[in-house]
Amino acid sequence: MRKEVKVGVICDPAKGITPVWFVFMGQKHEIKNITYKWVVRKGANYADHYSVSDGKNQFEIVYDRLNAKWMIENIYNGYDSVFS
Amino acid sequence: MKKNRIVVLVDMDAFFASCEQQEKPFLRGKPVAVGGKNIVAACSYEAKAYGVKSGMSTYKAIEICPSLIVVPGDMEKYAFTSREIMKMLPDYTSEIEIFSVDEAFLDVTDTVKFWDNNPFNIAKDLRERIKRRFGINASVGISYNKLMAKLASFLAKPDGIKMIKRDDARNLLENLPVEKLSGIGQRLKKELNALGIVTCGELARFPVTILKKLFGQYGLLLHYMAMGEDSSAVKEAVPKNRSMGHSKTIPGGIEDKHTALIYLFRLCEMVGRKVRKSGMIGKTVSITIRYEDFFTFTRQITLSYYIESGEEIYEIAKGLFMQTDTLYRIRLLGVSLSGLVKASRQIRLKEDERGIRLRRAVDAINNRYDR
Repeated sequence: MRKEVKVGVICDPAKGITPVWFVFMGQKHEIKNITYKWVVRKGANYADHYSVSDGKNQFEIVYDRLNAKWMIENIYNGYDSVFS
Repeated sequence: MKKNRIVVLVDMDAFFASCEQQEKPFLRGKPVAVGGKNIVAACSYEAKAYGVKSGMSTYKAIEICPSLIVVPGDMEKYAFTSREIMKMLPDYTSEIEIFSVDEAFLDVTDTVKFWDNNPFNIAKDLRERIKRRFGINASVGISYNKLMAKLASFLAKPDGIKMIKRDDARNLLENLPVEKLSGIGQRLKKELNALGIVTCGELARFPVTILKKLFGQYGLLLHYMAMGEDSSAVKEAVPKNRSMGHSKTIPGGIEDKHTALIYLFRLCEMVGRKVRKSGMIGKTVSITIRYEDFFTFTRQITLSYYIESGEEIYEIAKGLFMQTDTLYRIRLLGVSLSGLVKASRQIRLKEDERGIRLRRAVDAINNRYDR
C-alpha cells in the first residue's frame, strides 16, 4: 500500500537527491537519519527507496522517477509494517 | 599460471539479514531471519547463536529461537546492494570472479604492489568502504589460491580478515574436518566419513588410486584439495547462453494442474522475452518440476524447427507437463529453451514475419512497463 506524500529534498549535483523532511497525515517529519537506500527498476521506470527515521519511527519512502512522485511505502511500528 | 598468487575472497556476513538490520535499525542486535512462512533463507549472527540456519523451516527456527523476528525478503534490495558492492572491486584488480550474490574472488597478484605489497591493506580498504556505504560487515580471506582464500574467509567470520600462507596450510589442514573445504558438502562428507576419513590430513594421506576408483576424476581433485592445492584461475564467469530459462518457487506449493499451467505460461512468456532480447532462437524446450519433498526432475523435447515466442514455448512445455504425474504438491516450476543460435533471416522460424513483428512490439511495451 502506498500513499502519496509531500517531501522536501536537497538536490546536490554530486550526491543526487536527499530527502530532508516529509509531510504525512498533516504532520511534518524531519528526517534525522537515512538508514538505507536502494533502487528498483520496473520497466523503463526507476524507483529510489529510502529507509528513513524521524528519530521516533522508521519509514520507507519511495521516489517514482517517471511520475516525479513521492510515496510512503511502509511505516514500521515496532517490528511490524503498518501497511503490510 | 602465475607463481606466488595472491587471491582475496570478500564475503558479506549474513548478507540478507545484514541488509535488513541496516535498513531497519530496530532489528540490529536481534535474532533476525529473512524468509517466508515456510523456509528461513538467511539469518543474522544473533539468530545463528541460537542454532538457526539457512534452509531450516521457519516453524523449527521459531521453536529453537522464540524471540526470532522473521522479515520477508526483498531480493531487489539485496541485488542492488550486491551490484553496488561489486562495482567497487575493479578499483583493486581487473581479475574478478563474482562467486555469488555476496562473495567475490579477486586475484591481486599484479596489483598488490600499489598497496605497499600488503594484501591486508586491500582487505581493510574494501571492508571499510562496504561498511561506510552500507553498514554491512564483510569478512575477507587472503591466500595463495581460491580454495584456501575461501577457507580463510570462513575462518575470518564474522567481520574479520584472515590470511593463510602456503607454509601454514599443511598444519591448518591436518586436523580440519573435510566438510570445511569448499566443494565438500554433507553427502560427500558422509561418504568420506564412511571410509574413515574425517580430517583433511586423513584425506591427503588416503590412497589416490582408491579415491579415483570411488569418485572418478573428482577423487584426484579431492586429494589435491586436502593438500591445499587449487589451480583454478580467478576469472569472470562468462555466460555461455547454452540455455535460457526461468524458474519460480511457489509459496505453499500447488496441487492442481490448472494453477500450475498458469505459472507455466507466465514462465514461458518470460523465457520468450529473454531469448528475443538476446537475439537468439532455440529448439529444445525443458521443464523442471520440484515437489515439496524436493524431488526434482526435468523433461525436455527437441524440435525440428526453431522457436522464440512464449506461446510456442508454452505449447511444448504444456505438452511435457501434461505427460507428468502431479501426485504431490509442486514447489518449483522451471522452463528453459536451449539449442540456442543467433536469430538470422536464413533460419526459418515456424512463425510468419507478421507474428514476429507483433511480438517485438509487445516486447517493447513489456520492457517499458513490466519488470
